[in-house]
Amino acid sequence: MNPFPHIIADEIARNFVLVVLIVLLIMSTFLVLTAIILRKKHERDEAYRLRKKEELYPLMLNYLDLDPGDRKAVEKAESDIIKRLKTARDLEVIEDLCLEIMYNIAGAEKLKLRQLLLIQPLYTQRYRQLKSWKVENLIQGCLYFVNVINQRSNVLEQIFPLIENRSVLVLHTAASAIFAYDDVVTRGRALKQVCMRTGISEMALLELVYKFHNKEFDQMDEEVSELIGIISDRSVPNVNRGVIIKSVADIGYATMADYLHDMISGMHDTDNGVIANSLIHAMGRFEYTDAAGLLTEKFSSSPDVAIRETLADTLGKLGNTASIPVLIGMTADNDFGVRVRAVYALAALGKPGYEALRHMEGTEDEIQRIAASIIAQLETGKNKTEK
Amino acid sequence: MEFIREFLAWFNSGILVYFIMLNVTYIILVTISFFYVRNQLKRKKVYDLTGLFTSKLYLPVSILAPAYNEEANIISSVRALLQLEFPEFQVVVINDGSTDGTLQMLIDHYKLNKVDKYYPLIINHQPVNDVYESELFPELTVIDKKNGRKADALNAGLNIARHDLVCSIDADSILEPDVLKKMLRAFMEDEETVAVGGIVRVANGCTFSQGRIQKIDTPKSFLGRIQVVEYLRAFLFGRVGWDYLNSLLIISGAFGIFDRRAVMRAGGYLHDTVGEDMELVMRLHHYYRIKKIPYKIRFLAEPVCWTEVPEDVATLSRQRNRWQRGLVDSLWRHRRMMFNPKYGRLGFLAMPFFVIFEMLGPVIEFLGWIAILVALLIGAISWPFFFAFLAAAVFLGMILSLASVLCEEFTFRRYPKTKHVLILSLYAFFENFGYRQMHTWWRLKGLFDFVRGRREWGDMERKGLDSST
Amino acid sequence: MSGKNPLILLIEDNPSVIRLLEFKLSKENFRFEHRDNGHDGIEAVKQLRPDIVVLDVMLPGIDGFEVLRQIRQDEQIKDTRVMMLTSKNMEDDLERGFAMGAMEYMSKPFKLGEFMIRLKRILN
Repeated sequence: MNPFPHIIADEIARNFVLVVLIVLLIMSTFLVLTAIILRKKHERDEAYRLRKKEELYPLMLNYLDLDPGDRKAVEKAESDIIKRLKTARDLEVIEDLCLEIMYNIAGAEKLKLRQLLLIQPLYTQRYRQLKSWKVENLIQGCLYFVNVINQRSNVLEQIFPLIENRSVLVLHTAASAIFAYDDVVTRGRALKQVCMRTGISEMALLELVYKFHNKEFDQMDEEVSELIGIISDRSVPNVNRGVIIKSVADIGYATMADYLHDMISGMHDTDNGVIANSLIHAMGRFEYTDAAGLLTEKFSSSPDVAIRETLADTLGKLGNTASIPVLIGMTADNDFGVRVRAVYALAALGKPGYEALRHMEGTEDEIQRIAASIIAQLETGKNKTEK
Repeated sequence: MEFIREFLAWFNSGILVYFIMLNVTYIILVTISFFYVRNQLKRKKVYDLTGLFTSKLYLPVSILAPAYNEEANIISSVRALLQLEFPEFQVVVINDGSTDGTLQMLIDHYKLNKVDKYYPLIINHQPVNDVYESELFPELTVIDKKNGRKADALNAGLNIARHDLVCSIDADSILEPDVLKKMLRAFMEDEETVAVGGIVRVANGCTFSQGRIQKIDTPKSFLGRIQVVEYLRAFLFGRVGWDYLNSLLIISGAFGIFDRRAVMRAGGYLHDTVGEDMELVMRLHHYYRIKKIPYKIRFLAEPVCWTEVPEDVATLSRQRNRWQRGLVDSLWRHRRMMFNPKYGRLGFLAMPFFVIFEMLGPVIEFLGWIAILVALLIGAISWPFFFAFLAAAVFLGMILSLASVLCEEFTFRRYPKTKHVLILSLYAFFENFGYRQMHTWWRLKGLFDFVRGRREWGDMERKGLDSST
Repeated sequence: MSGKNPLILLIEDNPSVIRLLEFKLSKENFRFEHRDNGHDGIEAVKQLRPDIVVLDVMLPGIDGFEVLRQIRQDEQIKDTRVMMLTSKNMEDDLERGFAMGAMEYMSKPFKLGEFMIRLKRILN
């Protein structure tokens, strides 16, 4: 009796096995061959791109050296370059080349390159990509518009809706492209649209606020009024408003410190914890020393642990010795994290805070130990500087 | 005799079913990974030279590098870490009670000074002797502690780390300079990300200088080359596929970034297991699922960490034995995930896959070979069938490996020459003669050692389970 | 004639910067040499005795500061004029460079015109 009646009952089954084997054999050969063909194709492609790059490089350098006032020469140089762009691959080569040079230079030459990127075939292709359904096309299109000089409204009309795209990457590139515009109101509108979305990570939003800020021209005041518009709009999700509040000090909107201070004064107990936390944070980053009293008054008895933690950190950063009694009180907080932060904050307040640490009594062992080690550390540091 | 034949018939059919299921699963994973990696790669441009991140507002990272008797390489390893391209990071080297001059070399070379710092002991670990900071590099901290295991050293690092993200690596891992930027992408894309793993590649055969990779080449030895294929398969398919299904169960201990607070909340690394890397990832799943907090654990195929693999049979067999024990241990500790609706795909897909194919796979394979040999000897199956089965097994295994070589060719192309493609294809074939069988045997022994060891360490086992809940 | 033109040695590993400066400098009748790592760079300083060394901070292997230190310690070449290229926002690097004896710096990305002005300033 055959133990595998269902498998090799007869010749047919055996032939079946043979067929399977042959199929497998063909498949493996196919895989190996594909791998090798791909590699060869890739090598050819690389070689082509390299050649193209070598061909274009001198033309580009030449173009960079031209006087922008000499329209004739510039146009001739441009048409020389365009003549050499025949395929989509060529367009990629010139775009990469421009970006590569742009990465290293600034000023007039950079502007020239941003102008050069606008050459017809490239512009048309990238503009068309903005209407595509494919994520990678959208990204490529948006990235292009990050780097060119462009104030055309038809481009904006295409890019704005992309902020609503499901892919975070498309959102990010689209917003970056709009932030390359000089007009603050347009940028503000884009930033607000970004902020209306939920689920954007803090890191991504911080980066976008940074890009919103124009580094080449001084537009601080206009930018501030756009930012205030977003912060004060209650329809914007709190998390995102919080991130913007936190970011303004880092980017250097010094004039916003007072606005945020007033915002704290006007806060009621019912207000959102995320916003409160960000505001305290921002005061610390602005080093707004005079805010210490207001912060203490508003938040030292907050039921929210996270707020009390941020408060302790911030009071340390603000360096206002009037906060010492409050911080000593906080070393007996009922949350361990707050207690530890209060000790570190006292240490950050310089000599008076350090004296307060030394005479701290009645707290638990763990906190005493942390205080003792900080004192020891400060003393070794002092000895070193005296030497 | 008739009974044995009958039994063998059923058993062999079972093996056949197992064999088909295993390969079908692999082929599904291969297909998913292939399209997924391609897709991700098309978006890679965003992070290139002109990248999206122009500010320095990345989340800062603390790199935790445990070192035990690393005298020979410690200085260059640390130098390479300090040279990573990233706006703000800290390097924490944890000297885990080395008996050689590791610590002294660090002290001399980096002008370390003892600092009297107190750190709240959030996760328990072996006592710390001293903490040092460098005069030359403010971002370098060295912890000198009593010997524990790697997990214990990492726990000490977690306590001292300044930043909210920690990157745990092996002392001999060589990170590519842009690796942190690339990894952070997962945290940028999604606020809920708590852990990310990167691809680990075989460093043997490559040329390094000053802790940076200069030239990529395949290893010279047979075992080295086979492992290149193995690593490609494991990472480009396995991990990428599981990442797509959002049910990644393991992040290699050689290279992973974690949200420090998440790890702390879940209880840090477990120090009485040999598979602390996998165990931690499973515990994170456990923690977040129970608390019903949304989270993501990711794998990215682009950021590369190079690692030296053993090229002699003895070391390799010990390593694989240890990996198998770690795997079984982690699965055993988290066995309640199995078919538990609370864990969704983890419980119904990833867990069964790991238990059946990774944990019990060696047993089934081993018994399968024996059964087929016995059946052949007593004449229950014919020689042609035997060879057909053997050939099918070899070809299927080979096709999977070849597909991973092809996938590499479609995407990253880290090996520069056509010669390398040929070598890898060839070794995808060789792998099936001898190496696979040896590998099955090592893993079988690992499983066996675990079962035996577990009886001896009954107490520790219970403790582990407690801390995992 | 060309023997009288000042020789500029660029130690830099970024091919794009190399080409850019090579183009610009040869256009303005400077002689130009480049090396793409610190080690070869120091050798070239000894052999070619350039009028100015333009030195990138981020180099593979030994970095720009180390190159500068070695130049300043070598009796024969310690008076070589050095201009540093630093990445943007690296004020620490800048101070460190000046403290070690760099005469001029340029932070990347840079303006070509500005670069030429500073180069000529240290030449005179």
